[in-house]
Amino acid sequence: MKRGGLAPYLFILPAGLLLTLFVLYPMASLVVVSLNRWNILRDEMVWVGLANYRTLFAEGEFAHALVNTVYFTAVTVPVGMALSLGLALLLDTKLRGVGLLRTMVFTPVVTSSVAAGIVFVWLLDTDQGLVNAVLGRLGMTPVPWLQSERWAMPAVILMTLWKQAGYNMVLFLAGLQGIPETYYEAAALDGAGTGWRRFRHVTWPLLWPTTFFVLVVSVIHAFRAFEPMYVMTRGGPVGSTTTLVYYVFDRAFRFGDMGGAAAASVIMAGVVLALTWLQMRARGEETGP
Amino acid sequence: MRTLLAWSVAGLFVLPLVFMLATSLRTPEEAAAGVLLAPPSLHVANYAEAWRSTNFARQFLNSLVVALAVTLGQIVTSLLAGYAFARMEFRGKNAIFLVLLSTMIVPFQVLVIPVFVVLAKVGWINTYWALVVPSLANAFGIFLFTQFFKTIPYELEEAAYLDGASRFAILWKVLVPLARPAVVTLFLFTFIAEWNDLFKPLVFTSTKSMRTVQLGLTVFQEQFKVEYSLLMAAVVFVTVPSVLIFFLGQKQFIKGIATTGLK
Repeated sequence: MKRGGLAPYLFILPAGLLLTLFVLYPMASLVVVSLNRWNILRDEMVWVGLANYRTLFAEGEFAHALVNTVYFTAVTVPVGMALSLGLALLLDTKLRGVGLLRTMVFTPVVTSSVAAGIVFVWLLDTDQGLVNAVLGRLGMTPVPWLQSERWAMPAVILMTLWKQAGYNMVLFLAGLQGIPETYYEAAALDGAGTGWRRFRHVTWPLLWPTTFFVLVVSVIHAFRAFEPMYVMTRGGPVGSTTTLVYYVFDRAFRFGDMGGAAAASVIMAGVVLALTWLQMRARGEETGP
Repeated sequence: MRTLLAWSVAGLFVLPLVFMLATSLRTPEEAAAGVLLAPPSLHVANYAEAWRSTNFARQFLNSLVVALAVTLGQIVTSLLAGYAFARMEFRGKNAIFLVLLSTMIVPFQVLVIPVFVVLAKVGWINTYWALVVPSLANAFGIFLFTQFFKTIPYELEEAAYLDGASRFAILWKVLVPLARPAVVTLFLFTFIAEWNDLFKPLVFTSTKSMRTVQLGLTVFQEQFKVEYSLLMAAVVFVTVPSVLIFFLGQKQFIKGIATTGLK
């Protein structure tokens, strides 16, 4: 280690400058914008205090977007976690070809949300889609998935689950492989060596740090979901898939209402920060170079 | 039993991709009639037609330029900062590290409005600059290299120091070759994320000639709505680059997620 004058600062400068300009300054600036009435199409900024926030809560649309985000999160997170944990348990073996199987589950993760969204729009098409064709064989009437207020969100959730399962599976697999074999051997001696009891008394408690990490990451991911909705439903029908990020995007870049959209963003940032804080408190972790 | 279950579950995950490929090779008439199971008639003309009907060549170029520029830029800024944090002592080191790391918490979608305002002020909206510059630094990369460099024994650099090599030369000639796995990991994550990104081009560009592949694909979808054989052909060629890169660097990619938990 060398202590050396200006050199370290010069090495940090490029990253530091960019992150200041495009993350730290925007964070402060976001709060300021949220306190102004500012329509970018008319280009005037008028200080209005908390008026934007009051408007948000007075209008039903923001509340609707909030409810939709909670709905999306409350389903994708637990179902997604159970799914990927199940996959990890299933594929944590020395089975022949297990590498190929993991790759098959993981490939959707690297396809873009746009591509995956379009594929699912087709799979869920009312007349030409695979899903309704299968339902038809089973004697059910076709469901207009993406045109229905009731089924559009489940459709978007289905696509998200498919696309993300492989990612969380990899995290769970790493967690499972981090559990020392000796614990399982000890459990076997105590008669808890197989099946549910082994999972309940050995795997689950020892896997908890991974599970908790996956939980936090999944919640934050779910909170910023935008692309699946943009591609599959454009936030519709009748706002039934308009999540918070979609609401911000619409308000800012379709209607030009920067102040209102900024206020909604501040609330979103508050939620994300609170979640991160909870995570850090729960883990009691120290990060330092 | 377990083998059977494993294969059928994994099969379910690739099923949409298999059907995507099959439909991209059907004639428009077959696709419209909802033919699903018959073997596709290898109607490759879909690909040529999809490629021609919007300017996909230009969009590929745009995506390639943006993804490569962001990826290489992020690697350079992260290497430099990571080296300073791992190997040098200076006033305010911990505080600066924590502040820079904290930028990882706030998702870009939350900051899009003020970033848009900054870019508009410098006149960069609808240029490559808007798609590249805001992403040139990333806390994740800094963290990755700081941690990686700390695992490399200091003795390896000592000889170079005694020979009077500059810090820059040491970073470039001694540490970077040793940090290859971390460089590859960051390359894979960033390139794929940038190639797949829709949000930035959607907000920061406005003309046809600046569209990236993902944005172009959403416009293509609006145009061709339910002509699924054409749509699937376009989806296939937009997807091939990221899937290909993933297959090439699969081991490193998976290891990267497993050890850092981030993408």
